[in-house]
Amino acid sequence: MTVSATDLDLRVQPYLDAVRAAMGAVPPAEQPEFLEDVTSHLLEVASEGPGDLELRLGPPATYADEVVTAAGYETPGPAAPGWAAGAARDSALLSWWRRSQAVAELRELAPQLWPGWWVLRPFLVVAGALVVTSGGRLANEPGPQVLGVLAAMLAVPTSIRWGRSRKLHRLSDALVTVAAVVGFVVVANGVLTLPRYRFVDSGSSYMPGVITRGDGTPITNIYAYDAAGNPVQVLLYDQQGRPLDDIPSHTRDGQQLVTVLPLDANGQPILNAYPREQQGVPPPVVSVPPASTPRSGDTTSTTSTTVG
Amino acid sequence: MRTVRRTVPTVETTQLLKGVLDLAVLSVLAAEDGYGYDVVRRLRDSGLADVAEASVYGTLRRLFRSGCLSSYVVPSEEGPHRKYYALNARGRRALEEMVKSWNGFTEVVDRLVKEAA
Repeated sequence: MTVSATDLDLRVQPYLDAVRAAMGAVPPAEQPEFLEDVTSHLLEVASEGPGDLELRLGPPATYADEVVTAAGYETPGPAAPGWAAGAARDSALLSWWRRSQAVAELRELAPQLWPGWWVLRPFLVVAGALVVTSGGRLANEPGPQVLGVLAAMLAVPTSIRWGRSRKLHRLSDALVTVAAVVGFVVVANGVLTLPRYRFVDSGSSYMPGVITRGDGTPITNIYAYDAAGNPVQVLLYDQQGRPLDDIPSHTRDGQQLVTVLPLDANGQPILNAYPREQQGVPPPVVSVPPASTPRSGDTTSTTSTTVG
Repeated sequence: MRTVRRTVPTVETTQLLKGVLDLAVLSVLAAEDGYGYDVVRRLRDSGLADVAEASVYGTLRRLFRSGCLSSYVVPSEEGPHRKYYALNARGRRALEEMVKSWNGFTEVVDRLVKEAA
């Protein structure tokens, strides 16, 4: 069976291209001869008949990797075409990298560590998603957390499969890796910027022993209501069994705490509007009436109304 | 026309093949000089159905570079020039060593297998 010369060239070309790409580790002096040898071998196989070469030889990239490896040269690896081997060859740092014993041991160990990464990355993706969807915290409720862990566990076999057959699932593998790295960054950022418990000592409203929230603002009153909105009388106790009865009525610098009620359209205080604000009111000042007669309309001063 | 490899190589045969390919290739060439594709064919005909062209070509090149083979080109009118490989003295010595190791190794493994059976 005769095969035309151009047919041969076309079928053989992908293999030659693949070998050229994988040839980075072959010394430049040997490359022409190497390529020539491979070409004549490929032509020999191709001239047997018009069938698909890939059935005989496998995919070009695999063929190229194998022939270069079997010939005793290092291959650049599936992800790095010639540029890595060529350009990096001249770097002194890289030659240290290649020669260093510790690095060699690390590189030997690295393939064993890949499965760990494949197992870990779904959890990073899920953790990142939880942080993002809960606005910066790791979803304080256990519900989403449990769901997230379950989802990550279910995703592990797929992650492993994508990692192992990286040629088949290159895109999926890359996407998951990117998502996992992003998730890690998001989680790390969230951990680093956790709100810290600060003692707010602005000098005006904090007293030791006063009940404060996590961010330092004091709680000066607690109102208890049932689900229907009716006020209930309760007795409140803290974790040590002490009653919460030392809610102060004054701030540290002597301002009295006064409940400020919003007013309705008629100017009447609304009693069941919540939250009720309490403000520190400056100590009452006794105003000395000015020597001159006060103007008849001058009743706007609020500091002269009460003498405490 | 030879088409598809009929068998799918198992992990075991692939690993075993990798270990003995040097020995197999040198043995084939010790019998008679050969070019790349010819060596592949002879290996397959002798029963190593799973051997890959790429592995054989690469092995030939490596053995040549390590000085175990010499090569010469035979011009051909109809097809490409063929590069023939031949065993040289060093290659023969290397083959002898490998055969010794192989025999020793297979003796041990055979014994193990018999004891397990």
